Amino acid sequence: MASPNDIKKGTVINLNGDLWVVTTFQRVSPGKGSSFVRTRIKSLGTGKVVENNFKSAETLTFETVNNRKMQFIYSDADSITCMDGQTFDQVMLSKDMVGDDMKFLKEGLDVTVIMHGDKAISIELPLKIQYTITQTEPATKGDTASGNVLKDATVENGMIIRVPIFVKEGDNVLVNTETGDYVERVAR
Amino acid sequence: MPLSRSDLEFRAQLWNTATSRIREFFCARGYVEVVTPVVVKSPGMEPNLSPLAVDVHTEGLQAHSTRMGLITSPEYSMKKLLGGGMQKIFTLAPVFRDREAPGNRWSIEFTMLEWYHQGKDYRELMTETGELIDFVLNVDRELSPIYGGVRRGRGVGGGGESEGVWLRISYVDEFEKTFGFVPHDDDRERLIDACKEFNVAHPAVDEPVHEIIDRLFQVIIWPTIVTRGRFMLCEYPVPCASLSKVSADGRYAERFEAFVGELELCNGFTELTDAAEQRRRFILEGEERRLAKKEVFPIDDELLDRLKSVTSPTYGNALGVDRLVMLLAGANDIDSIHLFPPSTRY
Repeated sequence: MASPNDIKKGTVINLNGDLWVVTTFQRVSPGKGSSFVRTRIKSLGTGKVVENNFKSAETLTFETVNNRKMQFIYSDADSITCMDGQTFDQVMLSKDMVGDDMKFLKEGLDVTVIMHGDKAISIELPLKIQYTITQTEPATKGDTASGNVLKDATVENGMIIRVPIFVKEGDNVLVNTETGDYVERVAR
Repeated sequence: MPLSRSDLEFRAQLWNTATSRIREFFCARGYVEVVTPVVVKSPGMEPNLSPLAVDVHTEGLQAHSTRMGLITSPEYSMKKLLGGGMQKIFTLAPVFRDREAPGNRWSIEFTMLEWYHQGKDYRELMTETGELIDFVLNVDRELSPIYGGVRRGRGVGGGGESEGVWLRISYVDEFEKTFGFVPHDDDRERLIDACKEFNVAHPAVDEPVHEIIDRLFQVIIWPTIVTRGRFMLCEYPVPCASLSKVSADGRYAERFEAFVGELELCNGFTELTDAAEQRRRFILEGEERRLAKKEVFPIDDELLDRLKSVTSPTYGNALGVDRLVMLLAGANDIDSIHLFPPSTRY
């Protein structure tokens, strides 16, 4: 038995015998009212996607899955390919299952591929990934005073993030992959 | 790895901006800032919250220890000040909530802004709350980082038309439109039937009525309103009244919450000032706590006594400052705005 608070992306939940993989989740603790986990889950059988909420006090049954350390190599029209650096095994995974995480991928990135039997069902990214800023406007005087504390910046894989105004082109920064937030600048 | 000096200064600046603008806003409107105790004998009866309990020891001839708790909100102390005659007060208080699941919007300790105004009701509070949030975030169509945060792209509403406007959405109207009735305390059967009809997970037998209403709301109604950008959800069902006053016609509780996208910012009420009704609700809440095997702290009799002198209506609001700072920073993760990120501390 597991708690909804243990739900992560890629968790497989057994609901009345049907298997559902969690594609997104958000823990919600209201100011008033009991906490719950809001999820989007996809049926491993039919591919149907539904929204479901689990109150934190409920108990759930999770299916066993295997985690394989692999590297992202490339993506094509509807799928991505990852490779095991030791055995050179490759697995394919539909872009649907990767979802919003697509934007974080860059060649050679270490990822965890979640396998149910011999089928890849999801990937888990490192919580923080380092990127290099390839384009951003320099800060202008008075930005902070006007409340303009963040600006757009493009990183090497084309993703656009919001960064504090002190960040410059060529800086290395860490990005949180759960939220897409800039975390901090990394010393060069 | 410790944060760089630039990151530390950036985060400190965010908090400085938020708290100084909050103080500027309230002082300009004639509110007085007050300081309230953090360690108290009655830290809160709210059934869903778990106060951090502490034992306080007094040394000397009358040495004794007292079971106390850290506040989950400064509400009780604030209401005692109202009972003492203060008319317009605000506070920025550290608050604590134990036994919460870790997440990117949550910390065991956080900062609560609470403010109260005697003689005014929650409709006026909604207007003031929108003005406060806009003032702190300095909403500017081109520049404000709010649009880079919870909802990326230009307008919070998607198209930009809703900027500067806070939609008001009535909880009971939405509920009635969807389920055909306005829920009250004696509607358990109808609520369970609605769960079956709408295929919402069947609640446990002893689940309180307000929890069943919340299930139906979260699963069926919430997805249809969360897309509306920034909005104030108001007119709560009576069983979800919490410490708010019930409307004259008994249809709803005078309570609202402000949301920016999915992010809940505050809970505001026309406050319940009827001490007898307040005592009744404390007893019910204490019973709910006992059933859930949670520590039951004593009822705050001083609060109930002082409540008798509070005028009706009086409004009060509790707003999570960390979340406001997240909006200011365009951050989705509470770790990103703290000098000491919560997820690295527990």
